Amino acid sequence: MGEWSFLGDFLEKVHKHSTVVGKVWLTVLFIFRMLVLGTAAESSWGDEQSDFMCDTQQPGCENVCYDKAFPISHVRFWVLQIIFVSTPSLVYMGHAMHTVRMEEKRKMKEAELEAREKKNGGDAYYQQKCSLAEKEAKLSGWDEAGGQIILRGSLLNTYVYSILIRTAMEVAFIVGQYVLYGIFLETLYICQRAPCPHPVNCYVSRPTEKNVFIVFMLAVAVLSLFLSLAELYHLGWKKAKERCSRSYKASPSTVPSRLESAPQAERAQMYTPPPDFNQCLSSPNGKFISPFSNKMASQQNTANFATERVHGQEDAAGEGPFIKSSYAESPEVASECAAPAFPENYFNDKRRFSKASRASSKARSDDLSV
Amino acid sequence: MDWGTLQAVLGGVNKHSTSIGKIWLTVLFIFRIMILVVAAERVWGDEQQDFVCNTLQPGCRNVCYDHFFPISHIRLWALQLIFVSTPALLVAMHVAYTRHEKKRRFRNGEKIDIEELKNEKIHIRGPLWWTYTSSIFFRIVFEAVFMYVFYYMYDGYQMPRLVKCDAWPCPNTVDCFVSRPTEKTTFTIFMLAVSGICMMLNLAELCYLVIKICMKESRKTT
Repeated sequence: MGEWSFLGDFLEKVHKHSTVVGKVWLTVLFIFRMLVLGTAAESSWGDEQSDFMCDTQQPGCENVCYDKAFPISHVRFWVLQIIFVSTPSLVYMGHAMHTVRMEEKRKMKEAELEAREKKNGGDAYYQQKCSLAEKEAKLSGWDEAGGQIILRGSLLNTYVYSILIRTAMEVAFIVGQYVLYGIFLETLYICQRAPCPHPVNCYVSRPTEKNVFIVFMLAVAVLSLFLSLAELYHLGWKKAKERCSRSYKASPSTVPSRLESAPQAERAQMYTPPPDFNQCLSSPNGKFISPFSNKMASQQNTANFATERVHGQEDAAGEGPFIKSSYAESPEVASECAAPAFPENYFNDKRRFSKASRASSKARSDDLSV
Repeated sequence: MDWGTLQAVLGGVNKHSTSIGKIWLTVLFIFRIMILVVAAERVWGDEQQDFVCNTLQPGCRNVCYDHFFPISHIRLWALQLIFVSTPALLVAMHVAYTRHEKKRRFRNGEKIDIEELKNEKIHIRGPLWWTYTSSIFFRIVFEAVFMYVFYYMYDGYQMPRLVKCDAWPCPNTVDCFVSRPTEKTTFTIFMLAVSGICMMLNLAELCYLVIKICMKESRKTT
């Protein structure tokens, strides 16, 4: 499994930005494909050529017959299948990281602008800039309030395309395996190829064990295909539902109920069942800092998430039940990482006071007195 | 072969690369190093054991194998990957030197924020631009050289099934049969294709850097 760590590290980053079904797909990939391939299938196919026996003394006949029977070994075929099927997720991951980086740059520019405007005292101009910037952020797929990546716009398109390509690859490899080998391996292979003097009987090593693994890997491939299709359906259905709910947006009576249900729905979607693959981005043993590691961004998001939770409820009116994937680091992980060093005035919230924050800063009559 | 050390070194360089550089690094790790370690090494694992010659003459098989495979594909790919990754170390050294200079100035009393120094993203301009560009140029050169060496040494990119050998001590021209030629050809072509893609990425990165600096210069003059 250590050899798969190159790909494994990248895919764990993808895990954070996927939908629920996407996370299940990744878990299936890790456990039922990579792990099984690395531990069990490799040793089963280990002696495939040395124990491929042909009923002949002719030198070279066994070599050429093995080559004819197995143009590419099953194990290598599955390795290529796993790599090609994982590749679209990496492309999506690149886009997600690009979005995060653009958002970071935008925030830095905003912070600079705030400082500059504070000096000049241009309040109205600043508010206009702020609302423009928020509109930009909404288009890009970044949730200002929650510090999360929302699948919307171009990011959603990339995600959908990546799933479509993944599905196509999966089908191509399943069909390819069927065309090359059929479904089951036969014990006996009859070979007629130079320099074999006549058709010779060749015997495959461990055919039953190999058949068990072939059927297993085929079943897992079909399961992955099914999960990809389910994810596509899930995304398509959500999009259609969102379009319907937007058409009812005008009516005010529905807005409060959606506001109430939205946080619960968000929370339900953020708590995902599959095992937690989160890792600290800077681990002490000098692990690979992948192209997609973004320590600053994730730590900022933890801070954002904590300080701006109130704004999230207020701003949820225009969002609707979009798919939300939590980008913030889990608390136990954040504590292991070094605390970020922000400029002094970073946490000063200079935006206009919302009703909620105004309310929270005052003592209420029903507050418990100590 | 332990590629973890290379991974650790290149991971540090990655922070200071352009986006295309990061894509190149991903392709390098997943489509080349990983394929080499997980798949290709096993395909070539029994290349000498299962190299069979149609003779009982002792030593003939050894000599013929040595004649047709002076360096195994696996070792040649490992060398290629090491040579292609090495120019990135130049960039890492330059960045380390720049940081060291800044720390030295800080110690001498100049006012530089130490936290900013640690987290600063070093932009590719000035002397670092020259280092970075020359590292990409050398990468392209090494890739091309190795692709040519493969072509020259093995007469193309296809693995033959049968080779005829008459090196001493073989008594006459003997037929020798290569192990798993189809699978080897598949992987050779795959690695060749990925080398080509990496070369395209490096060329694109080079063009991007040159165009960026030209635009910057033209903006300064206008």
